[in-house]
Amino acid sequence: MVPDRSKLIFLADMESFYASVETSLNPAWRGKPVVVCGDPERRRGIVLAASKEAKAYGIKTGFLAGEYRRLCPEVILVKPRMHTYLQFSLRIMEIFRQFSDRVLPYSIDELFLDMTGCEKLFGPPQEMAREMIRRVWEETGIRCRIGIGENPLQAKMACDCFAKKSSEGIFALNHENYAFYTWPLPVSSLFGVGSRMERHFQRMAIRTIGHLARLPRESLRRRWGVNGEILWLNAHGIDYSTISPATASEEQKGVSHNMTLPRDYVKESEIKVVLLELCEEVCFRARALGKMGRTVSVYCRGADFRHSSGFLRQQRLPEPTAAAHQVYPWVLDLFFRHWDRKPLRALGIRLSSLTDCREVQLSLFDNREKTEALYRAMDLVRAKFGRTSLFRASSLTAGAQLFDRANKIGGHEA
Amino acid sequence: MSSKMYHQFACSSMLLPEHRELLNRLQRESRRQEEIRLPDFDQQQQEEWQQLLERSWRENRPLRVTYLNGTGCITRRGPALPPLSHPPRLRLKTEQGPVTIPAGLVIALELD
Repeated sequence: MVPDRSKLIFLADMESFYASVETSLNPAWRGKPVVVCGDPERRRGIVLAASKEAKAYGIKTGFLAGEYRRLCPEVILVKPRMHTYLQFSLRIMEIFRQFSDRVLPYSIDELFLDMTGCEKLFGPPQEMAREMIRRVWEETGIRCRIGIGENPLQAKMACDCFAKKSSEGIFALNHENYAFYTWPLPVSSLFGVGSRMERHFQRMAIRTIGHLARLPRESLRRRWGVNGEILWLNAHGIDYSTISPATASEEQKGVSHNMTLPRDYVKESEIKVVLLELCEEVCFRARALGKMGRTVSVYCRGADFRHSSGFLRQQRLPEPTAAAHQVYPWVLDLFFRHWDRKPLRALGIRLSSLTDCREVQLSLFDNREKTEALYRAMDLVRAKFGRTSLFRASSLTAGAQLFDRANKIGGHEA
Repeated sequence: MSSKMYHQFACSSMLLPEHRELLNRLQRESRRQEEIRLPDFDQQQQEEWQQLLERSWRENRPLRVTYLNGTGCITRRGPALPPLSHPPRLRLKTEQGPVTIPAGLVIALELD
């Protein structure tokens, strides 16, 4: 398949987003080291964002409370307020929607824009990007960087590898210059290469994106399936993704919920409680979408950073469901089959292969209508009186997270 | 070709559920606003409505007026009262009392 070279795709990324929002709301902090950090008493008390000035002291995202205080005692520490950040994210999206109706939010601080055909309205790509950066700065006080490409991958690589490091905050890649700029970069800079894949590549003596690009496509496909083939395409700057607003909002492929535990968990009873709460959360969200899932996945990460451990395993369910009590036994089975009994740092569940709630296979032995009515009633109570108004008794036992995480967004203060 | 090749960014998108819900709400809202966009009425239709309005007022016959507001369609019923101009507004004598309706928002008008 021949890649489409007629597209003009932008990726806009907000600089130190949470810290920039805080600085924008408190202009007196401009030019000072600002760090947004979770509760230092808890495990999630890590640096979520650091302003440019804080980064100059060596403070990085993911640092623990003690680490950044040691580097910069006068740092301004701010608790996260996720709802405010979401509102800023929407405001920024609205600014970009004045340039194009094809906007795809990729995360809270990154979004793709399809600017194909807009040159006559806004001028050449670099000029468009400059105008966007100016508008976002003037209307929100946040600095953004823009990567430009002929597809989303090139735009993402242009932004992450070059625009973020340039003073203007703009960089453009295309099929002609892609290899020249990206092939000398370390293979870990390639989109899609995580720490594990990087280790695999290191063992194969693949150190740069260029090394990877020179491998036969088929050999990567044989070893890692479609993921290997995508990495080969990425190394060549080829990407068949499209930018459509519906991709982000409506066409949801699955519902997942992960949580970093407040401490290392090793007791089976405590882990079971968290898995049940995760099942409840994921099924609740699937029901809210009017969906049921046919595949359940369990994810966990070990507590030992030196020896990366954990797994992601999935299981096809006998029939689609969004009932927690039906998903939970499969989750337990999956988890205890693969858990190495070492302490855990994070757990997660995903319900995928979603189908419409109305597509139900009739069962002779299961009173599905009664189950659905029960869950519908529970959802109504929770929607009206809050998530902690109706819960399983196990959420009162040791290890439960429901009450701690209620009214939080992404595990942080709303 | 695997569908993942067409959706590698959709597959790796890291939107918080709350963010996704806000985006869904925005999209629903913008669709709804598009759905309630006012249709254009030609001169002939406007003259017909004018005649119905005058008949209702002269004969004290109830008129059924459907119009759009910010949230959707609303129908009011009652004999017409003399209309107001600048800006043009219809007036109806309903059971709940006199009601004023901006003429530009009317989408249907018929004698009961």
